[in-house]
Amino acid sequence: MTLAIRRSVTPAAGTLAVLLVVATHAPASAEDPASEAADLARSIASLRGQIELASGDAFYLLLDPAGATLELVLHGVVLESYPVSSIEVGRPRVVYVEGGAADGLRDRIWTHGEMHPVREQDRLEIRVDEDNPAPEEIPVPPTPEERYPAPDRWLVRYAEGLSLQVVAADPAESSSFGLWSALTHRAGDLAAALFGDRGTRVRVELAREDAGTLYRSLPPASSLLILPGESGS
Amino acid sequence: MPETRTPRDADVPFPAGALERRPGRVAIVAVAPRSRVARIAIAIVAIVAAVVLWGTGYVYRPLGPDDGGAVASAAPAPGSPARLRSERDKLAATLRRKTPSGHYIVVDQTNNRLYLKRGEETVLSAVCSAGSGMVLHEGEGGRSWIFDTPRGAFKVRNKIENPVWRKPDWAFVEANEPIPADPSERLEYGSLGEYALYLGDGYLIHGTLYERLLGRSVTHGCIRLGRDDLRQVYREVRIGTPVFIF
Repeated sequence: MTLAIRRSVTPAAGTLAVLLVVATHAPASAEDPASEAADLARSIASLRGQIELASGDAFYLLLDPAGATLELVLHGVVLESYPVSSIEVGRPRVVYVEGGAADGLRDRIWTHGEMHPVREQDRLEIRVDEDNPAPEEIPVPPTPEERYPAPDRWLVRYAEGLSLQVVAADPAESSSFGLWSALTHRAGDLAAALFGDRGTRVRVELAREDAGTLYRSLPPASSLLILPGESGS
Repeated sequence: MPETRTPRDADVPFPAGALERRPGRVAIVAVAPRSRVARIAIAIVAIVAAVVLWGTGYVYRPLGPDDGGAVASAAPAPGSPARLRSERDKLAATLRRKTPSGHYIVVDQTNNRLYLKRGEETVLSAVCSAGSGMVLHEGEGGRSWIFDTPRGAFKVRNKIENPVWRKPDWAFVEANEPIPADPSERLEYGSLGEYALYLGDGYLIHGTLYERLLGRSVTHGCIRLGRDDLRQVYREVRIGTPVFIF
């Protein structure tokens, strides 16, 4: 009797098990083909942009929201990679009316990047002739941090009003100095919204040291490409 | 004798709380509006200004998947998902081939760091020294040199052991010495360290007698490394190894 029950139950259980396995291992792309095609198209557009940049001789930044990195690249080779703790999109607002466009951030290459504040380079000039003999000792130059002190926030302005703002993560925000700093930045945003290019701004937060390192080393006229994906994914 | 009146005794009505004028000092006199209407108007203007300013600036929110592109809002992409996947994979493979499979060198000339990498791995992170940016003028109306390290992509063109420095003209100008006619008088031994990697156009990665200055921009354009780091880099790279300087 027990054997007969086992024989009748086993095939049904086996079929059920197979169905369960198939259902749980069904490919995730059982999603809408149109949605998948749109995602693939975005990836293709982004890859084409990266190949175009890699084929040139200029440096460029790649902002990867999914990987949470900001990378400095040349010829497709990643030279430096900085972890990003947050990525935000900013739109200018004047008396509660928002401007700027949220479209066209990713599928275009942001070009003609100009840093603000500008990284001023003081060049030591020496003239040597009969009246001006060579100095016995040339002064020891400052360290990179002394030569180019990095601000807490700095900007790269691109063509068509787009901008990338790099913010140094600062645990001192809660102190009174941090409050003053926040007020100063608020005033800066206000001025930019009123008198600036009024374009869309992407703001990224880096570790303080990384923000300073990138400020000192970012080559002039670097481009930027934002990859598909959302921050935190 | 006529009565002498000082300015403070003049019959100029000062509102209560105003500071008195004193000789030799500039006093700021705060004048409160007398009229209640004026005070209310000022308060309203201040509130409106605060509201306007509060509503002006940049508004930030996290970057979402829908932020971006024109493709996101365009008509459905042509081609089946399978064909698009194939195209995507080909493009990704093209991009991957851009990264050198072997060693390559990355130099951050502003922060004076040199990295020896292999694929995505950093094999060595070293302190170096890059160009000082100094400008040397040869007298009035003479030649000038700018001591920058160039940015861009280069290759190791030659590897040299116990390199000898053939001093260029600027080295003699800088020292206010006559430029020798005899080429052998330009040769200097030992100042470039034990090894050198030639990058072209007169630029080298080499050693230094002044390791205490590593980390500062002190060179005439070349990249200087400490002895141990230079030895490791020299041993691991080959002629043709890419070098990226930014």
